Amino acid sequence: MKILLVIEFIGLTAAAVWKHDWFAAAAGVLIPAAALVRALLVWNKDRRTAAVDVAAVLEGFLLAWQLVTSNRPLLDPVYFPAPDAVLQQFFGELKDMVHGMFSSLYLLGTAYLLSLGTAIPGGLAVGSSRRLRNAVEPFSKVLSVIPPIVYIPYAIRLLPSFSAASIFVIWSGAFWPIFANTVAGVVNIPETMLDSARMLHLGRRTFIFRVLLPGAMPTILTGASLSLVFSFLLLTAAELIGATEGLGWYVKDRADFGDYTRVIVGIIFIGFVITAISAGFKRIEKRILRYKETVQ
Amino acid sequence: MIQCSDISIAFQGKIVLDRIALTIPDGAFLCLLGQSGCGKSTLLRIIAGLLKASSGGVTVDGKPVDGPEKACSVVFQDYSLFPWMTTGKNLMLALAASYPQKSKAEIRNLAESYLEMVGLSGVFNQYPAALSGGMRQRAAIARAIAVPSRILLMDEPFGALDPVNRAMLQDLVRELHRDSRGSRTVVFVTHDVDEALYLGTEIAVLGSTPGRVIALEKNPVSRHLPREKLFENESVIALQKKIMDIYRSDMNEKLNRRETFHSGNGI
Repeated sequence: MKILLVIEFIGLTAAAVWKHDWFAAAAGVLIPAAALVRALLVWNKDRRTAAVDVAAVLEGFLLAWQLVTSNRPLLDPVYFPAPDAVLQQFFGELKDMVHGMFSSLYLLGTAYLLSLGTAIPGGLAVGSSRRLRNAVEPFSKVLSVIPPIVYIPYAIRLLPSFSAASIFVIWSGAFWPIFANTVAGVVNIPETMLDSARMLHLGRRTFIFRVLLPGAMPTILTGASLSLVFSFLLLTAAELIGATEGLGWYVKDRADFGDYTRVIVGIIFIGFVITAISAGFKRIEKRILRYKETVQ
Repeated sequence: MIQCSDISIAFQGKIVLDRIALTIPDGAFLCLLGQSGCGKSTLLRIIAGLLKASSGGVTVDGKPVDGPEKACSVVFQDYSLFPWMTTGKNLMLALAASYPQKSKAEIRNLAESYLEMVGLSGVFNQYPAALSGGMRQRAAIARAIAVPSRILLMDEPFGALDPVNRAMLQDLVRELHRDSRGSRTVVFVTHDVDEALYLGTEIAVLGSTPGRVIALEKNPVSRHLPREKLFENESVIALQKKIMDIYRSDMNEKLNRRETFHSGNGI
């Protein structure tokens, strides 16, 4: 991989000099430099190798992209813009996209918190009562498999605003994984642990918040991360259909005008946003479940 | 005094306990000895009020047990502590439920002192997962004796421990019981005859399928006899042999029964 990186480095610099392509020059120098710095910062051999490999793959991709799009392009530049054009637009559009991001995150956050707030208490109640479980199960089985996207047109028609409609749709999709996992989490708490809790004669509130909820927490978090992925999917789907701002709307709107450079910029930006949120979620999850670590 | 009168219980048509009658006097250390599957843990759960007998019942000091019994605290083989709380918080949770009028600082001090009592100072802020099996059981015992219940129910608490830890914890429980001077009753479930002889003032042997008391023995020696002297004592050796014989004949009976069942099924 190191050799590959060197070859790519030479390729990009050659392209830069030959074609006066300053984007290629910057990428060709900056990415190996970043990889080198990272490699020097981490002493772990595996991770050092990984840093170099990632840089090599990225360089290879950029090189290929550069070669097929710039100067005498092989692909139609309307649909396949050159990387330097995309990069330029990315920074130019950043302000608009960040604005769109806040609009999207408002919908996402509201709907996601709403589904946590309804699915967890509901799941705890249903999980701890066999009778309730038997009563609810037939309905949850049918309702949970309906793809929430089918609600979108109806919800947009029925609810007073687009925000309300998309919050409803995201909620209805994010609800079930959290609910089902909360129920499963409660049911799977070892019986001995519950017995041990019963013998402590805890009050009802204490039992719910100190035993039932944390006991089900690992499974709840699995459901919650699944729901987060669902929420993104539904959010962008809803925005493609009825929004006037937001990340999904940004992509659709630019596509309507045939501005595919900005479409790509939007897609890349969405990728960064979702990755950041997922990484944040993982951190929170790890923090909540830190008690499982055998060495502290 | 714990009184079990004619306790029977069946699971899915199979009788697990058959008319168990047992009186456990105050201050006793009763070992419920039996092979796996004989229903000794089931009996313990019925005494604790975690399980309702199909017929018969338990009284503690004359009052019938109905639901988790306040006079009892339990230590199980696993999962006694909540893994999501630090060891100290585990104790504090139990203490706060027992002493709602005490302040948080008082509860904290109490929890610390009980952990110290079982030889666990310095683990207050550690999660159970970071402790060894032996330390976890020590903490579980600390929690069980920290609450003001007089009866300690233990369900094969040392079953998952290595021999050295097991011996150390047996010493701890024996000491705690001795130091309570008759104010604490212990019911201890085990399948290990030597463990029962070392710990119990009384030993009830449960036969298997259906479970019934097939022998009730008093330990002939004093509680103060050290471990290495115990199995040199002639009356203890005699009791050990007697229990082993009962054990063996019960096991043979069980094996024979299973054989006829199998051959009958095969033809």
